[in-house]
Amino acid sequence: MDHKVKLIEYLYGEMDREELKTFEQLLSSNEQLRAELASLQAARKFAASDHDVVPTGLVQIMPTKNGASAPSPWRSKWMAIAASLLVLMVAGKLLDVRVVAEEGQFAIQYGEVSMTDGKDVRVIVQEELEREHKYLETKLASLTQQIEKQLGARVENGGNDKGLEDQLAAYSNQISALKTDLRNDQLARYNTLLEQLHQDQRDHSTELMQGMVRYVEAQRQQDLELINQGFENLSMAVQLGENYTQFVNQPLQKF
Amino acid sequence: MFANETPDENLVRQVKAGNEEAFARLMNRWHGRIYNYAFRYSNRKVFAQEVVQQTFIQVYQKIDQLEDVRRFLPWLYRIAANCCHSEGRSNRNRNALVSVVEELPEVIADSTPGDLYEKAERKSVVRAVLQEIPENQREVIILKEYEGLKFREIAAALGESENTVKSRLYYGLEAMRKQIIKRKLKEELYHGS
Repeated sequence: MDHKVKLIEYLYGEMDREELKTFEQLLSSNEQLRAELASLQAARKFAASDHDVVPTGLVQIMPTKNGASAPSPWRSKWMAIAASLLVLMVAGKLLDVRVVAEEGQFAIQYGEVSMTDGKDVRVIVQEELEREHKYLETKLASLTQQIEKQLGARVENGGNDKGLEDQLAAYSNQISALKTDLRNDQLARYNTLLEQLHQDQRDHSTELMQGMVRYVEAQRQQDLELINQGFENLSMAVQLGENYTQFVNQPLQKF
Repeated sequence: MFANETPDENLVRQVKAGNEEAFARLMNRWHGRIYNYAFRYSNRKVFAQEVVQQTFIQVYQKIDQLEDVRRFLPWLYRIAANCCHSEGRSNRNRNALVSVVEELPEVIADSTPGDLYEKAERKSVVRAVLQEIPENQREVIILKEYEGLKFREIAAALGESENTVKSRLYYGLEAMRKQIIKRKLKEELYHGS
């Protein structure tokens, strides 16, 4: 098959495993092919530097936090927000509405995903989730260490420690309260954003229709003006013609 | 997709049965994408608005001709592509009526003039380069690179084979690269940098 077609399939990741293996072998031994691929990649990169087209529907929903903050009890709330943003992004893909980070703020945007200096909001959310994950891991390790320490003390006390049982019950309550809090946060945030999204879509649609009507009306007006101008030109031309005829006729009439 | 989100094919079935609300929902869902497509095709906002309007008028008029409702998306882009072609032809004859005002850049809140200028400059170069690529290659680039359609969907939308689409994309990207080089050479020539 034509190597151009293969290059395109490779460039857009649309090769099956077998084809990919064969093509990569060919690529490693063919300098010309590698150069062609590099050219195509450069062109794609250039094209990708313009991703925000649709000018309408930009809605600010929340400020971003600058820099990585230290882990705090409120991190679970941030995690809920990040999860909601992820849900919105997945849903937005289908609704043609996306969450973007722009000018230091998160926003919902119709149409194309806006890139902010090469850093996509997906990357930002992913990084935040990873940080959250690490924080939870550390917290879990610390809790495990405490439990092990206290279990050791329990063995030393002959397996009878009311304090430890109370402590474990307190941990368990704390964990379930955190889970409920997280779930409620997520649900509330998700519903608010969804409602906002729908409202914005309705407004956007109305605005678009009104814009269309205004445009058609303006076009009609312009056409009308053009036609009127044409008529004026025509009558001027007729008048000129008449004057000219008169000018020619006058001397002729003397004869 | 949200659990309560009606799939396109269900909406199309409802539109075929005469449900106007379903049509409004379908339009609401897709007009932004069609606007994007038409805007990149022409680099003109009024052109894009006109194409959106014409596309959805035709969708409404011809929906009964769509036999396989699962193929709504390529069918929609096919109509949009045809509208772009015909609007492009009629625009060439109506340039005198086009206002210059429509091409003014959007003002984005909280942006400094420097940011705005830089962004507008970068975007305008990409869009201008896109306009210099032959029409049949340009539309494939837009559908793949910006609209994210699959090759088989683009092929269905343009009524071509998948290999033709891939081949056009190759030549389109090549043309784009050549245009970039040409512009860089010009810059160096005029500014010596």
